Amino acid sequence: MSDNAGKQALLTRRCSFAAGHRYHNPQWTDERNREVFGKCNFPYGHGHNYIAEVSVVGEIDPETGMVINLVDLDRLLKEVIEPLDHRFLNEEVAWFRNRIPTTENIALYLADEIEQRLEGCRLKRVRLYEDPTLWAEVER
Amino acid sequence: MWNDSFPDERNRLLYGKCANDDGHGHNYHVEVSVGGTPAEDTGMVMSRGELDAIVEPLIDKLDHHSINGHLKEAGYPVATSEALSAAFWEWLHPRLGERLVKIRVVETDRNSFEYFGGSADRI
Repeated sequence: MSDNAGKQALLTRRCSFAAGHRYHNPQWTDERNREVFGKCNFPYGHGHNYIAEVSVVGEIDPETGMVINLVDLDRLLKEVIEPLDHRFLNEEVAWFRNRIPTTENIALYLADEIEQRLEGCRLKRVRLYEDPTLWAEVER
Repeated sequence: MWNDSFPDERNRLLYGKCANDDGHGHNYHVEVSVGGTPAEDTGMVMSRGELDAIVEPLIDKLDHHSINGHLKEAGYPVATSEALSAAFWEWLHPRLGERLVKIRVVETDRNSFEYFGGSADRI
């Protein structure tokens, strides 16, 4: 199967988690926070059913036919996503203590965490849906 | 999913449920993307009719059939969706040429596989 060596493909896996957040910049006045963030600044936060689409690129292994074994990818994704699932991100996830947990920042966080763990292929993109009408993408 | 050149245990470990002896199926969706400068007279990169005439016979050949044999013939020993996306490219490229931009195989609502001709630069 040597003529199949080196063929690169992109694989996308979709996974979901639920989390709460509040947009609030402590360096701003309450008025400014409300003006910039609107409803997202309400004091007790709010939640989303996030959907993450994680795309990786790698060689289609000529022997196994796979870019990455989905069982391994799922294990990695669970490790990354579990600490966020059903959490209030602002308080319960250290990375967001000094960052506003916007869709953009959560996508960046996911990309970094996934990238650190990936072996045998490379991260191409994380697309994170906050709801069906809004998503953020981080490209590598 | 099964590679005849692997021992049984390796196949079962590697492919898990997908190594079930009697196989399993998916309702695959395949997206064929073509690109280029629209022709001045038609305003189109390619007409829907021309594209359908090229793609549909291939779909008919695969639909409700086992894809394992077709993929083996194409040089892919294991019927993964990665292999299916690459084989689709290779089956269609002779007819579509440089207009072919991407093949996307959607295996389930959680998994999809994209092939751009094999080079990472085009991804």
